[in-house]
Amino acid sequence: MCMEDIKYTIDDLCELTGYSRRTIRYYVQEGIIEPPAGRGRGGFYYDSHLNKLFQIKSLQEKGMGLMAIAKYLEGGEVREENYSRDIWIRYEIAPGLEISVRRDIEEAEGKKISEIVRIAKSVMREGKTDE
Amino acid sequence: MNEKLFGLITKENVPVPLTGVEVYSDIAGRSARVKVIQRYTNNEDKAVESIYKFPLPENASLCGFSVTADGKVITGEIEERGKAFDLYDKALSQGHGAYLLDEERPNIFTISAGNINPGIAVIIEIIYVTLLDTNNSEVRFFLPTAISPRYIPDYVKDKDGIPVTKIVNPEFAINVPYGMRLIVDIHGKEGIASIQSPSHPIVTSYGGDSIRAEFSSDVTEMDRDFILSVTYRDGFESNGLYLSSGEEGFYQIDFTCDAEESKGKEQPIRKEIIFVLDCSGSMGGSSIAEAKKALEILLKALKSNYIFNIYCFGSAFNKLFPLSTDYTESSLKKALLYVSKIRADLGGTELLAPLKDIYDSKLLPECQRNIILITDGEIGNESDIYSLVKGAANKARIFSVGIGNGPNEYFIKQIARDTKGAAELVSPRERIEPKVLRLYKKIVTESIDNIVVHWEEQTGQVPAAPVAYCGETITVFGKAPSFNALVRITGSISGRSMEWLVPVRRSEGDDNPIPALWAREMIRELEEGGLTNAGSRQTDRKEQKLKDELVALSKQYGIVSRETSYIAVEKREDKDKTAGEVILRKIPVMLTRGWGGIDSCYADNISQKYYADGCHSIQFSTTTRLYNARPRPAGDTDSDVPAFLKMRTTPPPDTKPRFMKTRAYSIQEIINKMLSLQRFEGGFEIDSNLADMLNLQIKYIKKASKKIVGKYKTNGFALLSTALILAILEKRYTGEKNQWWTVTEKSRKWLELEIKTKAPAIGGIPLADWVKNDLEK
Repeated sequence: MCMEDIKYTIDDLCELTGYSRRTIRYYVQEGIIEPPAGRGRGGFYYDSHLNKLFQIKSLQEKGMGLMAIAKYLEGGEVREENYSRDIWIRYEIAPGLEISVRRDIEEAEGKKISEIVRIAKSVMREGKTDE
Repeated sequence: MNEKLFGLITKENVPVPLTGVEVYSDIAGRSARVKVIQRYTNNEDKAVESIYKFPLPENASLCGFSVTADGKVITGEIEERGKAFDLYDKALSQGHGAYLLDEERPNIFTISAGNINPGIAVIIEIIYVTLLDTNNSEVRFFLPTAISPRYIPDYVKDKDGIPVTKIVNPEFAINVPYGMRLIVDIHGKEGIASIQSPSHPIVTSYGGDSIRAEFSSDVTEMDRDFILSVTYRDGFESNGLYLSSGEEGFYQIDFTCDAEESKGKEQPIRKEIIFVLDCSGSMGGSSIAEAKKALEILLKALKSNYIFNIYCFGSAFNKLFPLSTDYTESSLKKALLYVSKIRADLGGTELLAPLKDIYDSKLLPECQRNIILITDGEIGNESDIYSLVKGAANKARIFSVGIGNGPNEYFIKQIARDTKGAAELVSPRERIEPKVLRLYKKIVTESIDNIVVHWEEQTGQVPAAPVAYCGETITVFGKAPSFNALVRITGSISGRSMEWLVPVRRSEGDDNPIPALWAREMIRELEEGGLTNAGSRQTDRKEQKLKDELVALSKQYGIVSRETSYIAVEKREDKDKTAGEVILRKIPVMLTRGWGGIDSCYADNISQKYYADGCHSIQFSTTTRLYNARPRPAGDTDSDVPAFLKMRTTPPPDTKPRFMKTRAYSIQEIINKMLSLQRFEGGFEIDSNLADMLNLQIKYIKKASKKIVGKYKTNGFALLSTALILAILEKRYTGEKNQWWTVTEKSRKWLELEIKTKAPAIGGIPLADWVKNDLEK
């Protein structure tokens, strides 16, 4: 059986992907996914639609915004910062206390960040000694 | 050329189904009921789905939505937002017509009109009620017509997979093929002193009990917010209304704390004042110049026990000092130099970073932090900013000034509400300085703390924690089953307990706005309460509970909220159902006039003013009255200084005037100039420029000042300049006292001390009497 033979309604897509109907309609409007096949808005979707939605979801989970995803899907270059801007590195200073550093800052200011983490840890240790 | 594109099209030949907008409003006292009509026609040969983003006032209580399509009238219903979209989408999928009204922000809405068949006309009607801003006896009707492009920083995450910029920003165009008609009826004409619009030319006419204001042109471009200022003969006094509605009852208490009760006494606590100035590209043109002027005046008005700093922000920010610093002659000098170099060249409107920097800096003990924020507020990541300032509400009060043709009213007011500050909006045809000075007055004088409204029994007071300043009118709503003719309010001013009794009268009427206004305020409190928890580990259950509460309130009172939408479905017979391709048409919105300095000098200060005596006049600069110059008399000599410092008077017709004025100065220009001459230690020194504006001669002032004698050596020129300026302000500019009284506080104190300790006199006449006598002459 050809993959394209499986037909999905928009409700199916919502259920399978977790996207709202509004979001899927928006993606169709903006040309991010193909319009449904058949009679206009009430038409059907295929695995190609579903896979594209999964692909979008996966990129979003990596921190990519829709505008960058649209470019990527068009085959354009994706700038690294679009990926990295929401990737954070966590340093645990003490139980319940963390310092989070965005990856690009961590890469650019690695030494300073290490120093900040070291000082923060020593401050927390001092706190314990005082008690 | 596409011959089929009759009807309205853009310059790019894209058809626009929206053909026009009409607004009809009734103003009664502090509240307004507004009907907005949008007319659509599909002139294409295929069905269209139209999407139109448009603004409304941020406190609009949107309580009615109906559609007339192909002759049928459909009344909209409130549904949970997601469900409303599903209903809309399903209806369209089945070929029916459907109309959806979503709230994107409290002041930005989207109307989606789907499956408009070729040749069909659709009329959409929206009704909202709103409370108008008041200032003494003035109320301001505000109708936004333009959405300025909102700046969304890169780090803002998409919402539900959709970029925030696409949610709040419409498609922009330099010109659009539709416009707006407007009619405003102001009721209770006997009590009205004047009506004017600083934003648009208007004409006025009489009705039975009302005065009607409308645009002087039939259709007006929707490129700037409409403001109508109605001044009543009497100021607003505290009063209450009670409406019995079925088993429920609603109070609207308008409470004005008389400024005299507090005597405007300054709070003794030390203050930190941080000026935060938007220098993004959108502030270009006159906005930045006037903001700088206001900053200069305020810097000179600060007191020696204050600490201060200045931030300029755009895509990045810079600041005058690393941390707020003491107010000294040297720091003032540095600040003035810094301000003189400010330009609107810092790119986007990224306010979060400078605010974080301020909130991260240590707050001095016993010091109250105040932020004066001047911005056009074209900010899209409002919620990040609210989370920051609300989480730290006790740390700083924010006094925000929104300027331009289409500032983000919601943001400007909300950031002030969140921090117990205050807000002002300035239209491009108004000066910024008076508004900034009015806010400064609130910073240094008293607020009313711990306001409690004592209800006998009530189930919902909004706002729960009202904030008020002396002389300002606030409104508190309550829901209570029984009527009381008096409501007691208590509060404290500088530690003194105060009590007020507000008389309440019964109100009636089917269209009475009180329940809708109460519900809107209640919804707002819930929505804002939700924001405080944004980013925290709020459980899904709590979020769901809040959402359920919002949906229930929305449905019960028919008010749109962020969780609900209006949906109207036009059921069609098979023959009328839409089949085949449907074209999406996003309605372009005009770029706000003056945005980014574009066309900023178009405002030629012409607006029409209605006066209560019935006469109409076109007035140049309604906000700046002209002070006419008088030439100096001929044959005058320098020997006798008095005769009030040789004020210039009209010369005999046969003599050539020795002094020719090249221009007249507005009151605001004169006040600005005077206030900008204030010295660090207090007092003023008049310069030749101000002398010229006041029609005085500087050399006579200097000469007279040399004749001042006192117990000890003194700066006679500063003494005379100060006495003179303060006397002129008192005598000529009492109407503008709100602006200059607080700002000149330190100069009054300086003068009092000088007079007390040095007893200065001219020719044996005490200085104050000498100035007073001559000014009266």
